Parts: sequence; C-alpha cells; structure tokens
Amino acid sequence: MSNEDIQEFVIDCLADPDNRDKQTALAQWLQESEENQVLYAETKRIWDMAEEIPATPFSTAEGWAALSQQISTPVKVKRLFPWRSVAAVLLPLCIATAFWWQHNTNNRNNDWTSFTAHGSEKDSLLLPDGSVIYAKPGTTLAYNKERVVKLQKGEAFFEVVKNEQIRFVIDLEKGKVTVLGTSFNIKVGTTVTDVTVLDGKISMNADNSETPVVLTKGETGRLDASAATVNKIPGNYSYNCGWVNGDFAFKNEEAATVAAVLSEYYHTEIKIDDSLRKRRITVKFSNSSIEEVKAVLAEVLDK
Amino acid sequence: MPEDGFNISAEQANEGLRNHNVDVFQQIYLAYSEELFLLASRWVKDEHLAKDLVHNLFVHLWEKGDTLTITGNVRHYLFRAITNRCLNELKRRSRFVSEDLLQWQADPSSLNEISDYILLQKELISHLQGLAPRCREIFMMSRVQGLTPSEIAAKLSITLNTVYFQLAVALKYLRTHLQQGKKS
Repeated sequence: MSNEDIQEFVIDCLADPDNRDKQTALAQWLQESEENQVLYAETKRIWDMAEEIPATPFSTAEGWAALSQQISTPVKVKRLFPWRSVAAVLLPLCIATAFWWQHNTNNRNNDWTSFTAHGSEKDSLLLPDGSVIYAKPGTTLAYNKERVVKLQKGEAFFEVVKNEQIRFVIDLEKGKVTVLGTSFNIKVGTTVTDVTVLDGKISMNADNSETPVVLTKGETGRLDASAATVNKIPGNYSYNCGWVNGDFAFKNEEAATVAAVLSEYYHTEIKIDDSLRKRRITVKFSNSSIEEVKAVLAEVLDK
Repeated sequence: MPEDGFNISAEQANEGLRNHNVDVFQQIYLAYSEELFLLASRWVKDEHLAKDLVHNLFVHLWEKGDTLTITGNVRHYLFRAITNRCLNELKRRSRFVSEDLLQWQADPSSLNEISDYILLQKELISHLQGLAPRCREIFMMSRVQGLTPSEIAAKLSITLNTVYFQLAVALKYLRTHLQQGKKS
C-alpha cells in the first residue's frame, strides 16, 4: 500500500467502525509494524478530537465587544439621607436622571471606545450599529455610537450597514471617508493611505478640501498625507480586500505583485523566477489552499 | 505544558485586576477566552451556555478583581474557575455531570492532560482554516455534524470515494501541521 492508500484505509476504518471485515483488516495491518500503530494512533486522535469541535466558532473579538460594554466602571450612588423611605423615592429618580444624563452626554460628547486588533490573522469587531470591521493585527482605532470611526494605524476592512439617515464616517489623519452602506478596505501607511472599494460607493476627501472624490466598486483612492490630496489611482485593486474573504482576483497584474500579495496572505514565501517577475497575468483564487495557489501560478507562468 | 506565546504572571494579573486595568484585562481575555470556551463546551455540551459561562466568569473577574487573588499559573486558575462554574450550573439545572468532570474535581493533577488537550484542539481549529473550502466542508460535516460518509456523499451529490479521499486529505494536512507545531 502506498502512503496515500494507507491514509484512506485508516479513514475508511475510522468512518465505518461497524464493518467487521474492515476492522479485521485493520487489526492485521496494525500488527505489521509499530510505525503503523503510531500512524493510526495519531490519525485517530485528530479524528476523535475533531468530533468535539464546537459547531459555531468562538469569536474572541465579539466576546470582547460584549464584555467591554458590561465592564465600564459602575457609577456609585451615594445615599444622602439616612431615611430609607426618602431613599426609596429618590433612588429611582437618581437612577433615571443618571440614565438620562449619561444618554445625553453619550449623544453629545460621543463616547469613544478604543480597539486594538490582536490575533495572528485578523480580528473582527462588531460596532453598535451592526457594522463589522475586520482588522489586521496591530491596527488601532476608536469608534463611537454615532457611526464615526477614527482609524489611527494599520489596515482594516469595513462592512457598513446601510442607513440613509446617518452617514458612516471614517476619520483619517488628514482626511475622511464618508459612506452610506458598503464594504471597502483601508490601508494606513506612513505617507499614503489607500482606500479600495469592494462593493457600493464611497466618497473621500482631504481635510482641507471640500470637493470629495467618489469611488465605486473596484476603484482605489489614495490620500497623500503630506500633500493633503486625494487621487484616484488607475487599475483594479480589489485583491486588497482578499485578506478578509480569501478572494483574490488579479487582472493583468505583474507576477511579482501577485506573489507578494499571496505570500503575505498565506504566510509562505511564493518564489517567482526573476525572468518572470514582470510578466503580467490574470488569475483568480477563491479560498484556495496554498498548494493549489502554487500549482495554479506555476501553470499560468509556464505558458 | 505547552507555551503559547502569552504568559502573564499571577502577580501581573492580580495587579491588573485590582487596578481595573482594561488593557491587562483585555489581554487576559484575548489570550484565554477561546480555551475556556472549549473547556466549558466540553463540560456542559452546550455552546451557548458555554459562551455565557465564559462571559460571566470574566464579568466576575472584573467586578470582584480587588477581592480575588490568583495564585500559581493563571491558565490553571482560570481553568479551575470555569470548571467550577460549569459544575455549579449543571447541578443547578440538574443536568447530567460527566464522569470526566467529577474525576477532574477529585484529581486536580489531571488538569495538565486536559489543558494539553484543549490547547491542541485550539490549534486544530486554527489549522482547519488552512484546508481548501470543499475539503473543510466535508470534514466538518463528518466530524462536527456527525454525518456518515454515505450521508455526506448523498447530500453533496458526490461519490463515496470522493468523501473518503477528502477526509484523507484533511487528516493528512492536520496531522502534518499539528506535528510541525509540536517540533518548533
């Protein structure tokens, strides 16, 4: 039996424990060598362990979002009068006032919540309005309940819930992005910030400019911090959003760029022969494994 | 016990909790919440309940932080805390308490074993992301939803052989990657 066959044989036996013939064959095969026993034990361990995996994955980001809402330091209400009866009347009043007051200040002063992305791949954050932000590790931002996000550094992908009444605003150091409801990626660099729209329409402007640049699906706008300008850059950069959903579409792109983007996503260096680095290719991946990606690239470049 | 890149001493944790330091608290949450969820799911066999129990444990840590003292290993402390919560909740609901859980209560040294298991499970979950989508789907149907290979074949309109083949691919991938993790 080749190595592949053995794997399948072991799985066959694991998946069909009531089949006597298979179990007898398995017992015999296990007797053959210690190596077989180790292979079987390791495979079975993973097989059994996987059975206990929760059906819904646990999101630390969502968990933390829920938790951080509950852990704000409680307001202590001091009792001013010793009489219980007075307190009984005043306390609900105090609480109601406190609520009213807090509610109002929240609305007026925009209570900011800071967030720093952790995790090795991406972190997701659910905003109070239902919009979701996916952020690469190290990204820092702050948000409030009024659909305003300050993106300080890093790279984040936004899925904004549509609300015709309240615009969603992302404050950047030297400019801002305004949307109604759509999805797009923002990459904050030291000198320039790139915004790539995956779906829908957004407008973007530098701080000192009143005329916004409108971007639609597939387009990228670049905010230059030093010149304080926004310019549309030609080409389709929708692959900038691939780190969130695993979809990478490259259209007439240099092989070197394709390899660099994919290497970053898969945390594996994809080598391209020097003579082929400038070759322009059109290729599309959707949730492919790294092996598939390498095979496809080799195929495309081999022509 | 395997290292996982995050280590906070009991002193640091105690000080952070006492001072209501949100950063320290968040670090603890981000580092341990998934493991605690996996452990709680194992005990209570109910993912929603497990999630709530983890949430409540952290609310408790935050609110009572100034009266609590963590001794020894932080992960062990949290594992014990969540286990006790699970046990209380199961008793409160008069649900079945597994042998496993009772044994753990009686013999705290079995903690290392369980802790290793939970960490490996966490690693396994993260490696599932590396599988091709179809392969992952078939693997999850088999393992998490508990479908037999023939049920999967029927549901996806593919041959039984394809199901076995994809399961083999998944297992091989997971086995190699988990081993790599062990070596490094």
